[in-house]
Amino acid sequence: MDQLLDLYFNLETMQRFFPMLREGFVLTLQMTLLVVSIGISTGLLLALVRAFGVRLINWPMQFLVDFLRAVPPLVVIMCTYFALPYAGMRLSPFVATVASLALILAAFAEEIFWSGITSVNRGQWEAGRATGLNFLQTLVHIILPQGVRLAVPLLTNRTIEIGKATSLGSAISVADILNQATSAQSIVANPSPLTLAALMYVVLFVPLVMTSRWVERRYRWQH
Amino acid sequence: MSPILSARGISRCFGSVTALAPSDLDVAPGEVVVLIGPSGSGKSTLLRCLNLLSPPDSGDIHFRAQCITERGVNLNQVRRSIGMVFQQFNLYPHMTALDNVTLALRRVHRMSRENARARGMAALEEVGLVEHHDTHPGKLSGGQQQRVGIARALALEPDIMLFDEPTSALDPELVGEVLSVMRRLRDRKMTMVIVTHEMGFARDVADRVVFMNEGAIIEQGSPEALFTTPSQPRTREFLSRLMEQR
Repeated sequence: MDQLLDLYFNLETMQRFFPMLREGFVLTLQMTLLVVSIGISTGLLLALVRAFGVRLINWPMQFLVDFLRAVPPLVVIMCTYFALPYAGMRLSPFVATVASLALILAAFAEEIFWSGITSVNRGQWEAGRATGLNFLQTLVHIILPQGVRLAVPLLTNRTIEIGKATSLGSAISVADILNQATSAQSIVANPSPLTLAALMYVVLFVPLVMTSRWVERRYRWQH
Repeated sequence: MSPILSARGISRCFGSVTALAPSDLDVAPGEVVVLIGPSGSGKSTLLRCLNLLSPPDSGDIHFRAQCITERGVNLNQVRRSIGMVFQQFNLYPHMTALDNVTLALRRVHRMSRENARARGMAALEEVGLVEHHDTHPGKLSGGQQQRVGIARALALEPDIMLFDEPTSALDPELVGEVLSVMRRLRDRKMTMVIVTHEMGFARDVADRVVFMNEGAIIEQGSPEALFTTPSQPRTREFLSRLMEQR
């Protein structure tokens, strides 16, 4: 028991490396906020574009979306960081990670928003159009609010998953929570910094889950 | 009087099924036309062609002397003047009754919030639901929801209103409140085209009854003529089957 406490809950070690992990925390927080805001807004935009049903745009978009959903995030990050320089684009580890994950989240978010949009009853479209609203007005004021509400729980799951995937950035030397924790661990040969890292991830993502619950409640209506 | 709405040879297919054979329909200002017929006879299809919610495959429709089936016609503009009431109400569940009514006023007519509110409240008043203006559709009864649906169409001050089986989705005891709102509209000389299975109501309010069967208009005339002395065997058959059910 003492050994367990000493290995994983060594307060002295945690305290010693707290400043280091705090830096990682700030970086992870920044990455997550950027990935989530860019990813979800891009996904929403793509879903709106898709609603217009222009095949010439939708077909390549679908291909890209399916591709991004199929490939493991780490592979996308590696390719962005190591392969793009050969095409003359050198990104910092931070930017490469954020760009890759935002792109992946956008692909998932597009699908989620799209399924929300298509699950709204056709009669809603008809009611809007029959009162003289144009396609975009009907989409924005009538269809989207209903579709988004359906999308929120799925979107939260995906957001948390992608948010945690920021730790993959440590593979290309982003000094995020996980990277800092593993460095600290190897310095003192004690895994307690990992426990601290786990706590930090909890602090980071529990508010997100709570916000999602709140949004679901806020936009609930009776049928 | 020249018709306000005039359809010539409009037809509509769904795949290989002819839902509506080429048909003509004229509606005079202030006239109440009721479409009756068995399920699948093309009544709703004809009605939905009239505001091009389901555009006809062939034929022309003139509305207020403008051909609205031509290419390049601004349909959003046209639809402002054609109100539509749906069988399933199709109210927006995420909005209050008042917002349901004022959405198009604000977005299409570009009215200010206050003006739209005033017009919306007047429309709700007309259907007797002012006190429910802040209620979401899910908390209203079916009859109340349909009255909001009517108010939504009415608020746009349309020249003609289309009703697609407005009482078919309602519990029997809620049908009356919707029909009485429609009766009041008739008294106000609102031009209406109504698809309904309520024969008693059709007889009361219609200036003209149109009987349809298998996607075609079989015969039309005044309610007395059509209900008491129908000329076509299929009309007689349809009406006698209804009588048996009573």
